[in-house]
Amino acid sequence: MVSETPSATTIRSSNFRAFYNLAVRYLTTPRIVLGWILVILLLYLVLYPVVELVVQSFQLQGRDAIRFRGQSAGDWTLYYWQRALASQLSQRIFVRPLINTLIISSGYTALAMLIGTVLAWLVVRTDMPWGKLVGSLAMIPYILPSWTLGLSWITFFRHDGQLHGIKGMLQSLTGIQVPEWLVYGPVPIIIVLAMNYFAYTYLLASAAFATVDSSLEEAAEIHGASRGYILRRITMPIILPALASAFVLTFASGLGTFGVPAYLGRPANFEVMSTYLYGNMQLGRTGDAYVLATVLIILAAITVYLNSLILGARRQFTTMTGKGTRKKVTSLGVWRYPIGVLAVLFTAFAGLLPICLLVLQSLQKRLGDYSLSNLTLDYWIGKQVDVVYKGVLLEPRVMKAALNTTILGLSVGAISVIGGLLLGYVIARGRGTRLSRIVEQLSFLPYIVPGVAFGAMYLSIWAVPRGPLPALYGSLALLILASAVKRMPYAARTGISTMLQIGNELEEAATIHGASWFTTVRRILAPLARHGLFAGFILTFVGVSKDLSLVVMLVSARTEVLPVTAFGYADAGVDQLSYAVAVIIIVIVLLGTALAKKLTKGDPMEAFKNAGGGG
Amino acid sequence: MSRVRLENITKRFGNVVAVDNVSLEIEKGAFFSVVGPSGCGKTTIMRMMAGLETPNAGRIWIGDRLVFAGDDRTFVPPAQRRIGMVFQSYALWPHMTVYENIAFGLQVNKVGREEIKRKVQRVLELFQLGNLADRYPSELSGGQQQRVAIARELVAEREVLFMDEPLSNLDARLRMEMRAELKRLHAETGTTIIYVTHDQLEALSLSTKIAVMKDGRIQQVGPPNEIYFKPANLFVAEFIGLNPINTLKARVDGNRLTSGDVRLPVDLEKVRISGLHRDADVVLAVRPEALRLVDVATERSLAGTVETVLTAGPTQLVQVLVREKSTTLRLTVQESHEKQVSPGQQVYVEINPRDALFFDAKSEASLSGQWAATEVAS
Repeated sequence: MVSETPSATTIRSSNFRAFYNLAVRYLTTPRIVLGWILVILLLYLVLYPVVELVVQSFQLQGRDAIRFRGQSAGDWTLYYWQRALASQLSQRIFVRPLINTLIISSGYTALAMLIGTVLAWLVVRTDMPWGKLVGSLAMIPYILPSWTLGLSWITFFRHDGQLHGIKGMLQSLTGIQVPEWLVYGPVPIIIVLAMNYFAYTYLLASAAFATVDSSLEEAAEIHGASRGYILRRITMPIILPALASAFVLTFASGLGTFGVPAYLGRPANFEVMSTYLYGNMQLGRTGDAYVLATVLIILAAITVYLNSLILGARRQFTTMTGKGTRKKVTSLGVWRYPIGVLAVLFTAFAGLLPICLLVLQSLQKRLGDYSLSNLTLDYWIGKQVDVVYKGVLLEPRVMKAALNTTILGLSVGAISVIGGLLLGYVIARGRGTRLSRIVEQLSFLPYIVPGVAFGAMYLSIWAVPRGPLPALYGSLALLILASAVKRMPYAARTGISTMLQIGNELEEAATIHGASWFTTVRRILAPLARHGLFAGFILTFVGVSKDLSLVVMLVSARTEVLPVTAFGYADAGVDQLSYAVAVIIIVIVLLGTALAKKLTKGDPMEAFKNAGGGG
Repeated sequence: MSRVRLENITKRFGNVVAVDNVSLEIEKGAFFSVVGPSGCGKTTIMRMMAGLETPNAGRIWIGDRLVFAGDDRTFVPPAQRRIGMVFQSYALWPHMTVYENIAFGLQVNKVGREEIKRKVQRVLELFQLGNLADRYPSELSGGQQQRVAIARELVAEREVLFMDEPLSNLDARLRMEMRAELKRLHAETGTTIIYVTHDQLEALSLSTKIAVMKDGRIQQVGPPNEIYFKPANLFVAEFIGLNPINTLKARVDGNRLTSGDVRLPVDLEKVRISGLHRDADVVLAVRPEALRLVDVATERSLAGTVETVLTAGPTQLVQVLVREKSTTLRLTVQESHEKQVSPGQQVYVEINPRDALFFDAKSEASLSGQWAATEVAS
């Protein structure tokens, strides 16, 4: 030190001061500090489990270790992948479920697209009457848990020619006995999932149809093009990117869906990847389960990548003109009213009939007897309706599940709101910085992990203590953590749009006046965001309380939630109790969505974006 | 003593240099405007002074305090710079009433309740907002919102007040009224105001001093009249002015000044030109209001034909075509509405040599006399 020249000392001390000043600056900039905290949390809760899941599929699992002399659990192995891809068993344990999954996903996606697009065209671009009613009715099957639609499908179509021999509504009313493949198996799964998802396509397609400026079509008309030619050469190409995106996203969200294939597929021995994965986990074949989960994640990642390609390449079409362009509607002529009646009937059938059926059946003493004298409230408030069960409103198991569901919904709702706000803050306020991009991408990652795979992943990772977290197996904390992380992409998206709506300058003005970051959050950001946040809270509550795919593997007897209770009752053959629980969930879902819609005032897209799908 | 000082400030966004090595001195009590076309870096400069943006290099002082230094990364946060800022959007907090908006800064800084009440009441009266105290921003007109935004900053009694295009969201009539109000306010409070606008007329009518910017660099700094009458370069001459200035590419050849085949009737002996060489390419610029139409030819006039006449109230803009062999020049003349002219008419355009501005054809810098060198910022 002594030997150093004075100038070198000054340079060094000025370097040190620069470093010190910069460090102070970073450590007092909330966006940056918060950003890094979130990065660490996201790595720990999202990226690490995904990597660990894939790694585990290449490691010998404990229960298989005894079969291999000289090897112990945790050794590297290709055993599970080889079993799945290249063994005598692979047909049954991998190829078949994979093919079935692809059939189901493509089938219901195509059907949902067709229904959704046609309905959107009818409502937006023709003079069909009652368009508004059709649009509202179409939302109902979308916000219902898909497994309740599956349940009501069975109650409608089953017949006494089957094993349990109960008459469904159709047979009771008309005497028609439908063939077996229409009650269980791939066909009903495809139809029911299409009923659940067509509203998603409807929303995207009607938005796309609404952005097509009529003058584009009129210009073609002046050039002498026929109506069909215009639809084919002008209108469809313009909305195609939106439709393609809807296709890919619908396809992806069905990959991990569990409830419908479980209710409608398993009785016919029809297994898809999600149900087979569930079975593997139940039987303790974790290695096989991890292979399936990895493949599911890869499939979902591919579809999401395709979506980004589609949107990246052609997005400009649909956003070409803003709102408020004049719409010219196509006249349906004499078919106007018949088509209108058909559209109302169809959407009512898809949305209202399942609810009515489930309510009605939960009131039947004996299933399949539709006479008035067969109605009873026993399954709701009976002291003893079966050997062991009471009516659902008196049953401790249901009460416990309702309590768990409430705790789960409130916790995940609160975490999502706060987490979403923080994520939105870091992402939106840091637009263009690397930190913002990293946080955004990490928070989107749970989207590509299908529900069942996510459940399996969290079960295997957090069942044992890792890092600061204790072993979470069998605790409600595990459900809360899994649900909160799984819903993070939605929370982040809500947070980002909320923060973007609150101009940067409102915050800067407070900063200039000397407000600290916490004061700014408390007095400016939080009050301004509260409507959006409260709606987000309710929608999260709704989404969590109807979800089955994610939690089905994570619950224990102590931590059961309502959808799992319904699933359990159905499994045990006490159908009316299962219907009654389904009805309770439907009431929660409908009330919650209506409340959220009211809060987001007249912006149904906002309200429904996060509400639908899954289950 | 200067109130705000910038020294070699540079700001890059990615590869784009938004502000390029800018130095400025703003005196205490000045109404200092930064003008320039959109994207010239004027808002960035203001945001750096306020601490909302960090420069890549340079130093900034506010008063005696160094608030930013690029070499040792000194950075004083906005809250401690003792400044106020009126945003283009006003940034009124929509969930707070007028009273709450104005009181916010005082509350945050733990001013006593009684004192807050007294201070807020005083600015409310100053801005004639007393009866609107309980309204929310959405219930106010544009002009009222704008007054609340200024009142909110004034109540904090900061010595430097930044304003980012504060009048651009108002309609033309209200804008005129608010200009007068701002000028009165500045005179009454003596606050240093730093004002960013793309509207050069606004800057001319409000400021004590103006900085003209282009592509991240300061083109000229000076009082409004100097900017108007003695532009430092062609860009400033073209950017500032009520009507677009006439520019002619010309050549100095001995005592003759020619543009193509047209001999321009400007007596070079009578213009003040420094550094003008014989045989030089120049640009001659004359404001429309400095030209005059005369009925008979003089030694200062050019013969031409009226092409179009644009009448606007008391004045009319007359476009005159001057043809000589293969050269066509177009000159715009501002005349009183009383002058009778119609298209096709033969007229003579008179140029007063003292109004002629000369710029180097290549560097576009002013050649017209002593003002060019002294007032331009480094």
